[in-house]
Amino acid sequence: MTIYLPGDVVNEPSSSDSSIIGYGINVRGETKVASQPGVYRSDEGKMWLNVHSKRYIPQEGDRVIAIVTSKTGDFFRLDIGTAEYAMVNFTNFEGATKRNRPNLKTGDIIYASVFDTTPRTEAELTCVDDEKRARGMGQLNGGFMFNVSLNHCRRLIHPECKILQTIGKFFKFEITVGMNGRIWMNAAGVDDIIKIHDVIVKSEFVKEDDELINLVQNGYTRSVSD
Amino acid sequence: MTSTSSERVVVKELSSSLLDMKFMLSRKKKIEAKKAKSRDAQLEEKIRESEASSSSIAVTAEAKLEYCNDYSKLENLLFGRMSFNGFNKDVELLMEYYEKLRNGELTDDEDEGMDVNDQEMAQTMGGGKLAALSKKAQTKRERAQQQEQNQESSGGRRFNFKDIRKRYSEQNGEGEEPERKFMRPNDD
Amino acid sequence: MVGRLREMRCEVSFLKNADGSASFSQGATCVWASCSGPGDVHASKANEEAMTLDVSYRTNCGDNKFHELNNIIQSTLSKAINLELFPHTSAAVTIHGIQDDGSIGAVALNGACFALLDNGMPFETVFCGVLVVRLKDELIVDPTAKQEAASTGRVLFSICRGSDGGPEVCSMDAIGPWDFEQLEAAWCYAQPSARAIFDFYRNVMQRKHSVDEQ
Repeated sequence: MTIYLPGDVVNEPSSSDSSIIGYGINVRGETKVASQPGVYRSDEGKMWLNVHSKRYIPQEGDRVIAIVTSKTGDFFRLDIGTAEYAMVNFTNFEGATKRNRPNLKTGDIIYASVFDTTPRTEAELTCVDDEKRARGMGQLNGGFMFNVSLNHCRRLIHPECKILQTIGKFFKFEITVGMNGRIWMNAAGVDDIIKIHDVIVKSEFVKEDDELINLVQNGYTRSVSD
Repeated sequence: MTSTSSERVVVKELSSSLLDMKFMLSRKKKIEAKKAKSRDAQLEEKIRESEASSSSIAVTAEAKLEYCNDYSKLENLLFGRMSFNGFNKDVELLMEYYEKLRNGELTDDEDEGMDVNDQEMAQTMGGGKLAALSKKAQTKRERAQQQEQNQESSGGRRFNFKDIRKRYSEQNGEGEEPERKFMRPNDD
Repeated sequence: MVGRLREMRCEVSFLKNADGSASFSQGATCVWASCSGPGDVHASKANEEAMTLDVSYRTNCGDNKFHELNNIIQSTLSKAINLELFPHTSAAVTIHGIQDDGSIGAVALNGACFALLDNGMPFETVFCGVLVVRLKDELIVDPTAKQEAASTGRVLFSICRGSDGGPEVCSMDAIGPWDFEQLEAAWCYAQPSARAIFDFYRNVMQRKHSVDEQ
């Protein structure tokens, strides 16, 4: 596990056959230079740095949780935690036509994917995929939304991460993770929501499996109301 | 109605207005992807030809570097919505769909296992009715022949006449019941 | 010729509301630094081509808009961050001097760099600050307040990493009479200190990212 600071030359043995340069690495002429501090990761021809940060920068293809702030003309204006607001067109929802507009109000939360990040314009999101099907995106009703750091979000939905599965063994709940550092979840009662939220926030710095299981167990058995 | 000289119109390409319709979306995407691929392949060939002819230095493998800043592709992340212990059935179905997509078992344009196969389709759309009608329209001889066929395949007892007649009448009853059923008018 | 740095301690991400924060101390001199960005910018301050950097160094009491350290910190940061990556946004870097026991400028620069590293924003190279003073013909690196007060000349080097990995002067702030040889000698003494500070950055970042060890 090697850490690179900005300005370091990335010189890993496997880097010579990687053809996809990812996040955090810039290529200057022949050399690959790190531009953000992070741990080097490589996998099947891809190389990138895993960067810890809290501020989201829009990236095409990312699925994020957005809050509706206003309706203007043909668009909803959304807050995704970046410097500028993003927007989504009315027609980019499943089953929406010019007459049949989606029923969203200010303050509603939606799960959408970023599909256009032209540099000087606002980012544009969509709630449908290429074939106009929602595939899980759209409005999230009820529940509770909170912020965590971006790297923790990515870690939660990593295929090898057992945090959510471990919590799932004890609790009955549903969760949506946005790549902009926002997590929305819904569970049977307020107590459950509070416990699960605490476990997720505390699990950011937990490395060992046993520690994790202990944490979840403590979360499950403690009483919330005092 | 006389037709002109028998020319067969062979449709090689779908018309653009047809492609614009919503139900043709997935087909349209496939066609566009194919076109883009063939265009790329042609370009590459051209470049290769021109390279071979010119005496320039061979392009190093480094020039083929691709930039990808999308973490979900880099780290092969799961879909962001999850549900545990059946809290939300729709989301659990979605989890399975995306899992299959991630493992490459399912291409993007196939339906997620809710496909109805042809047999079922025929049955529900009235294949059963058709079979019943055609049975009614059979002559006695044909019916008897079918009987024999059924008995032969099931290996039934041919020498028990009572049973044959019973079975025969039973079968007839099954076949005719949907036709003979009296539809009671609703009093309310 | 004393060329040793005082003991360095650092804690990162200790502020909940800032994107990146660090509490850094060298000996008894301590600063708190925070960096938030790239974030929204008011239309009056918006720059279409580049990110607006809002740097401010504050002491415990007194004016928080104008301080002599703002200059060198601003110029170092503008070099270290590629401001054209994020047009029409702004980044706010705030450094608060908690306790001054000498070489506060250098400590402020180091704290700012830690805050940037904690933020995770892309930038070109890490940087650090080293203060060298001349005390009765002796050059001392990283002096205490007493030594600094008694010195006849001070020079604050703001050092970033060159393309070969070695330290390079990014900007310099000198007070008092210095001749060229003395400056060169001071730079010689500053270099190993800069290397030590860069290694310290690496250690701290390694520990911070150690949760990713799987």
